Amino acid sequence: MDSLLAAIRAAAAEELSRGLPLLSLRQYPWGVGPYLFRDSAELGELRIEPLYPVGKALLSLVRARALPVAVVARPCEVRQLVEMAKRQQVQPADVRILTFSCDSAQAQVCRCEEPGTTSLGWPELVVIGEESAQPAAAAIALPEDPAERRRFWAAQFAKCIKCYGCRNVCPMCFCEHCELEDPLWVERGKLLPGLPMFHLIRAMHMSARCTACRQCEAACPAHIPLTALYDALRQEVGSLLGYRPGASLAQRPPLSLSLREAPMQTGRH
Amino acid sequence: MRAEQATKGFEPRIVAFLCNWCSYAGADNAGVARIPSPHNILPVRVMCSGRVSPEMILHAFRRGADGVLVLACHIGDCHYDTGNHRTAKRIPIMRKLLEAIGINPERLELDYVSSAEALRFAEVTTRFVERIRELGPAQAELRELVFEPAWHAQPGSPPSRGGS
Repeated sequence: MDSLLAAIRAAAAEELSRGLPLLSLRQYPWGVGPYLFRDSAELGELRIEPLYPVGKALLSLVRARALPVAVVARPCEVRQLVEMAKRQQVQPADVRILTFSCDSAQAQVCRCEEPGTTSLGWPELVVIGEESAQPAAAAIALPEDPAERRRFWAAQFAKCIKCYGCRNVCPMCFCEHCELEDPLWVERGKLLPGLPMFHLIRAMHMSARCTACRQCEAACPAHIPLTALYDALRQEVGSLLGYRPGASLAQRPPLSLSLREAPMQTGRH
Repeated sequence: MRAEQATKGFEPRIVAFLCNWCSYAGADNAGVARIPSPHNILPVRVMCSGRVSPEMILHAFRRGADGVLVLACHIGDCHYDTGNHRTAKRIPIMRKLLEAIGINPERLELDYVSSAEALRFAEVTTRFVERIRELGPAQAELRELVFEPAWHAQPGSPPSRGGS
């Protein structure tokens, strides 16, 4: 890991020497957080752990028009940047990506199916280090029996304190108007009364976007296995529309396209 | 008919989202032509089936619908060219969501009815109502999914901090 960190710092110094600011994680006195490096003297503070949603930090740079920029991103974060680019949140030409493969231990922690790096058609992407990771199994198996599933989710959603952390941490949640803030759908001042609208709406919105970075689960103070639900819908989108979020810059998001542009592979219509 | 209903004791409540340009007109024509269609249908007219968001469908279930029917134009006939294409993709994913949380996905259906198909409107709605009648009340399933925290019922008592 140390040699990887050294290699990332060296590549980062190269970007800085070309005058490109670099977004990555930095060791602060209080912990690790995102930082826009401009001076190569600070690169000793650069960190790649713990996991942090760099895409969300990048969004604030985009809104502040502080581009172009270089970004140190893990494979899942590269996939997020691809999805963000397809949804007009960031221009690929504005972002130079330094990416590296996660290791097998990290893949296990994240239940990551794709810990290795791929180019994904991003115009400027530098791969640092070697492919070392073994993919892990993604799924948390949901109970077979529908009644069991209901009880499983009832127990999980009951823990929700509606902190909106899962939405706030998610780089795919960039909408200026969020349906989760509409009191018609998600009542205010109450912890999920009735049907857990908050989580079901978010699951639907994540169906063709989620790149399974598991940041929402890491952020959740109640340890709700949110991506078990998102994974189920992601698989459905995969089998129905042949779409894997973040897999390619060329493949456009299918749910906002017509059947002529993005046909369904199964089912009748 | 009435006696049969009394024995079963359950009349499904169906929310049907009807497209202004096709299925709503189809329902209208069914009425004009005096074709009997089930009274369980609560029609909601939308300008396009593509307008029917997941939030609206979930809201219908939350407010007591036993089934939700989305009736769109036939593919290729959409007034807005491709509005119903979005619906055609969205509803199967929505059904998968219902399945994943343990609600029978058969409670949500997408079908296609043009403005001239009054008979088809009656057939589709009758079939759907019969299906939901077989499945029984949705609230039986939804209630299990809802975990009402105890402190909701008793204002003033603090939430339990113990365990998960």
